[in-house]
Amino acid sequence: MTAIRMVRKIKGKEKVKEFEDKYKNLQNLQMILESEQGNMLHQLDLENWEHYLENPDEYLEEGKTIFVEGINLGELELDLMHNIKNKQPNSVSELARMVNREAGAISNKVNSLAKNGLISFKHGSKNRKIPILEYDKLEIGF
Amino acid sequence: MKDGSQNKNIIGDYLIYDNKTPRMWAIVIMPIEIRVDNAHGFVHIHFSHRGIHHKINKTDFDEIYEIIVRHIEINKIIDKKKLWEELL
Repeated sequence: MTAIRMVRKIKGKEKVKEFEDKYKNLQNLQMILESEQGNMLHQLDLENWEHYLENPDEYLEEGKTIFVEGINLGELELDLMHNIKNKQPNSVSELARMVNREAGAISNKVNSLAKNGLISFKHGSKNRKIPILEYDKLEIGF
Repeated sequence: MKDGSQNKNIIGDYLIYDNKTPRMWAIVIMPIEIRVDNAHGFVHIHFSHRGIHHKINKTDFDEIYEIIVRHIEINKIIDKKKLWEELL
């Protein structure tokens, strides 16, 4: 099992936009926080949202550590992640074209990256899965 | 301008979130809901969401983080009383 730290640096205003996408507005988050479902992570979100509303140009470095197992992070996988991050393909088929492969040939690898938390999917039109990579760099621990 | 930071790490069966802004820092342990922070001008620990705070003597973020990680590695399951004593 290998520990990988995924890191990204974003501006406060981008973080605020993410909170808006997640909770719509501050009042909604406050309502959740006061309800039975409210927990300490909602409290953290509220504090951060209020802070970055006041400081939209401040930078925030976000990191998460994931543990991956049974995944080969070779040239193709890194190439796939590079393309997902920098060229934002709208589907796995489009990603396959970017790396000059058939969609079937990369499908397992893309699913394995997602299963291990290195990328994620969002739903596009016509049931398309859009691969997403929100982080800027990977740090691999030994 | 100093950057803020936010990290999520898995230690044993727990998720540890650490959050720093130029104004304050917090460490949250989930799903057990323990929070250590330096809000209101002094470092303290909460043992539940909406729970009261208990003052601790350790004040350095890195030292507190290390104590929490070591506590989980040694005990596997967090013993709240023992953890508090370790932070005093």
